[in-house]
Amino acid sequence: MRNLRFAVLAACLLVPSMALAGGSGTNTTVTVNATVEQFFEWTDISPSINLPNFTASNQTKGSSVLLTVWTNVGATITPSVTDGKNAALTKGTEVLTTEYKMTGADLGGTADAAWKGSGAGGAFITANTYTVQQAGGTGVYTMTMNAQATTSATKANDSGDYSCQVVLTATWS
Amino acid sequence: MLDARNQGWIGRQQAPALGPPPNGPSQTVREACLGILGCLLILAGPCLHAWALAEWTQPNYSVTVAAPLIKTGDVQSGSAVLTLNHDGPVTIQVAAASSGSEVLNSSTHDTLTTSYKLTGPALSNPDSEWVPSATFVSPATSYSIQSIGPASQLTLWARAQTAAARANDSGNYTASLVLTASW
Repeated sequence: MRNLRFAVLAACLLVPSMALAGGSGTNTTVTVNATVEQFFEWTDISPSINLPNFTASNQTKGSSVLLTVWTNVGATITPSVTDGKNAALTKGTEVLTTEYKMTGADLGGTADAAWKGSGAGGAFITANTYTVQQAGGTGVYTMTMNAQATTSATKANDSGDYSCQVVLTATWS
Repeated sequence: MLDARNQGWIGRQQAPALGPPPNGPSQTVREACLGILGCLLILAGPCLHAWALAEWTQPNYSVTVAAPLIKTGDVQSGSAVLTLNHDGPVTIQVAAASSGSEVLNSSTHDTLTTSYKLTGPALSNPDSEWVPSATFVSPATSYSIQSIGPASQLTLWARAQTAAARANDSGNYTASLVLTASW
């Protein structure tokens, strides 16, 4: 009888415990890590500004281009020149008076309120910088590069196409 | 004619105050015990597989996307080997550790497009393509190991992708998953 009692007791103890054991699971937690570095991208690496045709002396015409940048850092943008024209619209030896203005809310207080001249020592290409007002979670910023040119007031400039290049370089630390 | 067991039974009936018969339990008691044990086996039969065990060798793993993301539309991935000790078939289910934590998220609440793959020779249905994070942690997605172990190595792959038309915030991004092995 002792064995019988033991067997019944074992049955009482084992059956519920086996039922509880059904459908068990074991967990592990996995953490995933990734890093995004600071970067700055011009969405168009060779934008252009095309001014309307000039038809008279002492005539001023302008145009602009919207520049979009994708950045996660408050970069500093510095205009410079590489083609020897000092950002002035040039055809051979003929030069149109050329001015620039960088505008847009994303440049904050560094945006231009007035035109800046070009040519050797011009304000636009000498110690002139702009800062993108970067904010977390944004990632897209715009600025407008305005250009205007004026034909000579005392002669007729040569007819034809005038051109120059400005390089905008973004840097950050 | 009585055999030795019946003699014992009779003897116990005749002298109950003397305790168990000297020759052990009678056949009837033994049969009763066997019957109970049989019932136990019948009851336990469906549960026998529940005695199987499975255990991840580590309570926590880490997948590091080693190469930083450095431009828009950049894609980088990383992986970790997870080891599961088990002695029977198991099913693996993936869930977000907390709401939305399957997506790589920065401290500024910016997110990266996140996808996963679970692979390994032990899996009956390993991923051959990247699985979007939402699908990966969906209850409808599960992975099966049919073998009985004793140890299966699984590779969890994670892929991060920056946005195509804006710069994600710079910094560290983390995601957190819970893998549950059930049997």
